Amino acid sequence: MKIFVLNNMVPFVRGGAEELASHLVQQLQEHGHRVELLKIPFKYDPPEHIYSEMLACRMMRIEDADLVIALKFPAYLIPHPNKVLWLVHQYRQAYDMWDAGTSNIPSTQNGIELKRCIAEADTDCFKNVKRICGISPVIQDRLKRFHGLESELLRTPLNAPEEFVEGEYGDYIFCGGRINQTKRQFLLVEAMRHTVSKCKLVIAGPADSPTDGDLLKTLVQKYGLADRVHLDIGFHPREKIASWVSNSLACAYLPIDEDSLGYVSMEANQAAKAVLTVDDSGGILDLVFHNETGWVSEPDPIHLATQLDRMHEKRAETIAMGKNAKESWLSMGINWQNTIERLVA
Amino acid sequence: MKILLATSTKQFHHREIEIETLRDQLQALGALTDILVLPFSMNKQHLLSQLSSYRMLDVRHVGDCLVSMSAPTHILRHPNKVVVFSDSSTQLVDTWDEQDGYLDRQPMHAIRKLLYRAEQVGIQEAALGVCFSNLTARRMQTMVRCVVTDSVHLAAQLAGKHLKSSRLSGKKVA
Repeated sequence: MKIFVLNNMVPFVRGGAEELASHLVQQLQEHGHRVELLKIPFKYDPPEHIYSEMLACRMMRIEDADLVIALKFPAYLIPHPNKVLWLVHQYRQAYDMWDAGTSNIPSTQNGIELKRCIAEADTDCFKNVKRICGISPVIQDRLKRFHGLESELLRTPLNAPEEFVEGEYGDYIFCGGRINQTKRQFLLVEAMRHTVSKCKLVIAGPADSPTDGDLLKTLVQKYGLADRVHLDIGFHPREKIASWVSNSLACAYLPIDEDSLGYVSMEANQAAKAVLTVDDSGGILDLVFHNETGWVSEPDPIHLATQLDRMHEKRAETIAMGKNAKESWLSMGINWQNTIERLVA
Repeated sequence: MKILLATSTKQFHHREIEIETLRDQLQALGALTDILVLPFSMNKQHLLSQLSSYRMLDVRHVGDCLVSMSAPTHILRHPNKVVVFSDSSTQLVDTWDEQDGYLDRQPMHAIRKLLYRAEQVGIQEAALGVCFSNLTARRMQTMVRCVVTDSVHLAAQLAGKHLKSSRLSGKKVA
């Protein structure tokens, strides 16, 4: 089958959606398909520019493809008679972020008109696609809420599951992923000062801004935690991250209301590591069940410290929970084989 | 230096130049690169609207340099653009008059003229033109009356020079 994968891009910025698109192409090719990845530049600032971006996409043409798999706005507006939407993002600024008052679209007459045009373009696109799959229940809920549309749930698999293996169960809790205020690594550092055990914490990943990284460094210094909290702030190759995960005792991930299961928690489970999270972490709670596959704490340092101590002191229980987590994760069938079969069905 | 490479995909045909090879060379020379890939259909009905859509995309503020690797991407707008001439341009130049040329002669004459003009505009905006054979160099000189480099080591040029100092049209560029 000849397949085009449609994604948009902000040049020189690479995030989860770009990783997903690359791996989707690779996996489709491994399943015997001929695949091209299209990367459409998207400039959303100033917001009025979105009109021409949408129009440009509507004017582009794809021919001689049996199937198009589209991931994001506005690339998914490019017409094709056999298009499947594997929806990573609509333009949220025109939907839930508008309602929340956090949109870049101004609350002016022009802004309202732009918002309406985006919604209309989406509606027109969605009614002409073969199927719509959302990567998370949150995405599905938005489609239902703003467009009245039902969709299938098709979660994103791990990109390189073979790299996340059950290693040696070391003496540290690992916290990976981007470092910023919404991922709340700072809460873990604050929790560490309240622990009574000798548990250790490793935080590694790129900071979204220098301030985000500096905050963690300051906290570690302020609380005298340098001997138990190791910070490795920066971009690390996946092999290095995989090694940290695979050889940890368990992992921790505390995002605010994450849409999806979260790569950090999926990678942990793949490596048979239980996950510590908090009760407002959104999609993570579909993966972490308290005292079964991990721990769900309240999002405050004292409660987190209690869990960190328990993870360290009841080591056998922590390891057993990690093995449960792996079993539970694998039973969900979220892998590329199933994903490709559903997308090309 | 941030260099954005742009190419179009024409229904699973091999691209004329291995864009990935150029990217790797640039990266080895210390440049930060990214690749933009746009769809392009050879269906005559949609040629003009597609060219317009390319023109509407805004990459003017992206990176230090844009390298357009094949004919339709030459019309992308960027203040520091390098156009790479490849065989795709031949359909607008010498194979036009051949019996097996891609575009019919009479019915499409006006469109060809516009395509030709669009290509000229894109090229004349560029700071540098590059091709990989003397044959293509001669062909492109016929088309745009400019001198282009031949057989250059494009990656080394891009990584080693500031390109903003010249415009392509009518000038000889190194």
